[in-house]
Amino acid sequence: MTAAILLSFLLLGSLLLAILMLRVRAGKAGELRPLPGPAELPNAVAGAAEAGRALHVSVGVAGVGGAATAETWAGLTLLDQLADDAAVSDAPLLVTVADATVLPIVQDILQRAYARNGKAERYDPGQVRYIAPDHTAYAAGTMGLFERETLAGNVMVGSFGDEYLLIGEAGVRRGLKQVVGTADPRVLSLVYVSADETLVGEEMFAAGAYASQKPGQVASLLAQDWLRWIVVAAILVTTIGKLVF
Amino acid sequence: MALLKRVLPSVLALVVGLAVLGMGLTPYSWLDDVASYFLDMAVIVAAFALFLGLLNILRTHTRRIGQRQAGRGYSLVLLLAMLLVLVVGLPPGASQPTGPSQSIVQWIFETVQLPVQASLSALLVFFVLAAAYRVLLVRSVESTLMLVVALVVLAGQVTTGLSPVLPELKDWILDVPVLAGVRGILLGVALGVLLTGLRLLLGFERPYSD
Repeated sequence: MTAAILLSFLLLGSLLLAILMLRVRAGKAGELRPLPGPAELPNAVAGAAEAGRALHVSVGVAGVGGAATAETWAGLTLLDQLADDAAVSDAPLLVTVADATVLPIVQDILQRAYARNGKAERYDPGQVRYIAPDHTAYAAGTMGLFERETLAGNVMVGSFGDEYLLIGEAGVRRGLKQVVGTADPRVLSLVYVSADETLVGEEMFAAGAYASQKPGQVASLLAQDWLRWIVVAAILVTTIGKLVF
Repeated sequence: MALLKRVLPSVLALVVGLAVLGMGLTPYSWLDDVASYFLDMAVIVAAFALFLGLLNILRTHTRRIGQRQAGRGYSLVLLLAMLLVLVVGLPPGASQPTGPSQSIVQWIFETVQLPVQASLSALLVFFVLAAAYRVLLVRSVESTLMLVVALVVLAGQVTTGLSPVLPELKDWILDVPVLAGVRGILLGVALGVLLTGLRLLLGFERPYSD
């Protein structure tokens, strides 16, 4: 039964994605509704370029291949766009990673962003730092980095645990503008009290689409909206059905 | 050649993705074997990534020491500690335990790393208090609501057995509005995860090629 439901969602999602992709490419998809969190991201890069200080980016403590791969991927998608913006505006980026599987991907994203913008020589491998695989050790290492480096802001999108608050509070003490997104509702309360802008749950998956406006990502965001309405309708119909019959 | 560079990774990603997806959705045992093989390969690649991580740490900290940057003493301690754990983790002889299974490595973890991590985690209490105090100063509707709810839940927790009103109110808050909100967030996350997977699987997003 579970496999059948999952399969139906996969097929429906694929179909919606394909149809909406065609509509987005034809320019018939309409505008994305404004979201304050993603809207703040270009300002973060611009602020770093103006101040000549690095923007810290984290894609979470999870890697690719585990249960939190999609959350990490949301962070990587966003990083792709931030790296492009940073390469264009010469804003320095400093990316910290906690999982070794993410390290070569992040290095590749940065290297290709500089190459795409004709500034391949400006890529410095030292911009990407592997801190530690243990979550608390990663938090401690990143807190130290916040103390030592002169940063312009902090963008963290991915999977985080309670250790996020150690980093978030270090950012607050340094007066950094912070944009943070994660999926765990337990951690979101910690994010809310320490970050300037919070990307709540699904907003972190939307951030990449807002930042890049790439057709594939915009179509994915629209398909997500359609699927949500289908789920909401299914919940309502089931509830009414249970109440009536 | 450019076409091959563009198409081949997408085809490989699609085949591997469908095989692993098929493992959970179909009853065919041969598909399980194929998917397990791909997953084993992913584990091996991940092990190589760990080696890259080691090189990254070496590079970052030797550079800091070489350039006489602030905090270079910590970098030296880190490199020496890393070297020490690596050396003592080497097998002392044939059929001896290696790496984390070695007693000396376990001793280092239990007497150095674990207490330090526990101490750092204990600091979270003070960080939460500091953050809550800051929320109190913001004076927005959301912040006030968050604080009032947090106080009611805390009061409901500590007055269990003393007064029936606050514990019941706490239970209602946790079971109705909080649970509804959490389910709403998780529903959105699940759809986001599904669409991210489909985007990668169907080649709408190709992170491995420009």
